[in-house]
Amino acid sequence: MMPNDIQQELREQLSEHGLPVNELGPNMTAHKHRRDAAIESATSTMSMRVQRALNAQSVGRPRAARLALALTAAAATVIMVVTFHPDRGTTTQGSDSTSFGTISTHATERDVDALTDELVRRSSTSAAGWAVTDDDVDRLLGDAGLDL
Amino acid sequence: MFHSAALSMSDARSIDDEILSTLRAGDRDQAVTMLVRQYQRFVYSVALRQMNNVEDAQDVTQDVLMRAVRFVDGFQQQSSLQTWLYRVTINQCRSEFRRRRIKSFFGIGSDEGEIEVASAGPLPSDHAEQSDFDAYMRKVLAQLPPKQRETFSLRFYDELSYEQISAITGTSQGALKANYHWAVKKIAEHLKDSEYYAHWSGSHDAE
Repeated sequence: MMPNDIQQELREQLSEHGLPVNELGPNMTAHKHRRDAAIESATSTMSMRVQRALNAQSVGRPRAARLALALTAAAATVIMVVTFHPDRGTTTQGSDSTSFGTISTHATERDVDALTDELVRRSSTSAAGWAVTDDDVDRLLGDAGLDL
Repeated sequence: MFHSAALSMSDARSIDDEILSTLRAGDRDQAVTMLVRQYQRFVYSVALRQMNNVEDAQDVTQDVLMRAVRFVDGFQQQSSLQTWLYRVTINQCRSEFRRRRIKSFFGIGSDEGEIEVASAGPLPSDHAEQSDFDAYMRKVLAQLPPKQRETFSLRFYDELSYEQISAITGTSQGALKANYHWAVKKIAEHLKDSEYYAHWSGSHDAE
């Protein structure tokens, strides 16, 4: 069935429900065309975006790894401060808590990314639908020590 | 409107074959270009329905296509690329909501909490040509049950056949036709209660 047939089919169905198709039809068609144009516009540079992102990714991965190392080192410094200067009170403990939260967020985001990759990989080798379940999410959050 | 939409399943399969054989022949850049051009609008359309926001849908589309490029080497054609990309897109959107839930929990970007899927809220006014009728239709669709909304959208907006929708969603064609029927009935009921109907009826009476 061609797109125009689908639109004609909808007009006929709406007509069966007592709607004035002569007036409604052009509105529905115009609505569909505006939506198509908006999608065309929103995706017009997508090829370029993807290509640029793929190029940046090959350069960006080592950078991301260095950043992760730097963050880990910074967090370790804060933890050491807490360990060796426990009498500094709430300010230091606050820093510790913030850093730990940041680390956990990064870890969980990586888990979400890993889960998404795994879903893509599994669905590429199977005809069956494979959507993430709440159990999968709970397992990941549990591994990260989070209770959302 | 999509390159794949008005195609029969066998035509779509031929295009998939062409993309995959280009990839396997070693012309990766060309295969990536073909894949993106063929499916970017479909992926974006699905993402837009889930994210209900132009920028988020664009980001999801980019992520989905990049993941597809990374994993397409292992694609075994147990389904069509379109079916695979639909599932990847839905999962990517859900991951995005999950990520926001985590960020919201830690107070990172506190205004970026989870947004209601397919809520009735307006899209950013990037596309000034969108009329009141477009906004009205979005509100009506947002009030449909998810399966009816998705079936109607895949058929009317994405121009897929019941056979294609069945392959994508794993739902029987009979059930899809029932979903579509109920969706149209509810849309008609909403339209009959709207100012549009009163206006159209008025213009009828005037003739």
